[in-house]
Amino acid sequence: MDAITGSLQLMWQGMVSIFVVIAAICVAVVIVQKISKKKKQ
Amino acid sequence: MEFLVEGFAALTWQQVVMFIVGGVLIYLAISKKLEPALLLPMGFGAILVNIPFSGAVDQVMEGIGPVTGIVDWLFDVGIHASEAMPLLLFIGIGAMIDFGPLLKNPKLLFFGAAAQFGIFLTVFAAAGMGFSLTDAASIGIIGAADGPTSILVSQVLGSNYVGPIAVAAYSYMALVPIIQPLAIKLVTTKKERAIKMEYHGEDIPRIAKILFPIVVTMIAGLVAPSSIALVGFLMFGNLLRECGVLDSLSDTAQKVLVNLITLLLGITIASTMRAEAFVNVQTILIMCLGLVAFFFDTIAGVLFAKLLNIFSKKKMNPMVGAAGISAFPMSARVVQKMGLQANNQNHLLMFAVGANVSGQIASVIAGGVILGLVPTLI
Repeated sequence: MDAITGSLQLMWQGMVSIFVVIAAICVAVVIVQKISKKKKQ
Repeated sequence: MEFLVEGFAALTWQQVVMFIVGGVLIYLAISKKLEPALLLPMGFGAILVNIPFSGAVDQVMEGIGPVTGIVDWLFDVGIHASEAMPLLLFIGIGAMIDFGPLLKNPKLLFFGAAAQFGIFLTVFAAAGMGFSLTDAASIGIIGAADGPTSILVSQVLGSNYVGPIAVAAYSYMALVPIIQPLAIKLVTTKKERAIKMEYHGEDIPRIAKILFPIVVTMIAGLVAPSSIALVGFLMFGNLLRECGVLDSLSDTAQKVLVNLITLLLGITIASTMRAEAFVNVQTILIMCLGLVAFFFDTIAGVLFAKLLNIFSKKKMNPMVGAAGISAFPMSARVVQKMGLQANNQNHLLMFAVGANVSGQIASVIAGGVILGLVPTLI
């Protein structure tokens, strides 16, 4: 694979991967917050 | 007595250029206060390693044989062998960060993700200019706006341009207050910059702050294992801060560890700033590409916020997206200042800080993702 095609693949796969990880973290944070709020109540 | 003039006789014009580069870095560090903790040691190191027959770098001495230089030894042990220095620095950085504003608004995490786009656009541009994919990816990571990540990724990928990449990363981080306003104004109207956001501060339970670094490490590790060293060390530092029972360790990580590693990291990076590797057209291209990376990171963050505004009833100030880069806290300050310029009642700082710390998480994830993907694409 040449560098330009590789860089386009990297752009696509890289951005998707980052958003997937961030989305998973976001979901986890929301769950943790809800549980800790319930415990506080 | 010929040996007294040997050094002068062996001096090349490239080495003289490096002395000037070193002098400029020292000048910027002292006079302009641009990232002085890094640029000053790097500038001095650039002079140190480019003196002909410098004993600070590995040499073959006549009649003695190979002699190890301290700067090369530090580079081999501290960066080349294990990337220990940038990773240890992350413990200190993690201990400095308060993720509270981010935990109050978890959706700000997505601004950190969006603002990494400049990295990949720059990789594409570098590949178009003829750089190999590993070098292009190493150059693109300048857009992580995170010096240790740039050093680590370029070193692991075996880039030939670790020195110029480190110089570009730290220089542009210092220039965020100049670069970001230009990019933000290019893609926003004054009306958009004046959008007011109400901040509702409520305490984050301690347990949530303790669980956050553990959860982030596990998720990042399971989804993108190659990011685990970067994310893990950052989050370990944060756990020291938030656990509440290791205050002295947290304090040491924030002050002593960070100062010690920073002190050594700058001069160690100078090992890669030798004239023969630094004085070439590629270095100029890398400096230009680094600027492209920072510029498009900012634009991507702002445009992502504008995209979200299309779908949400409560409009968000799009400048908050620009704070999704890792340059903390400069980027948050830029957004706060520009918010006040557009509307003197508009305090965006807490939102911008949230986006800014999410940029720190996203940039290390981006570094790990690049390390994981590039070998599969070669």
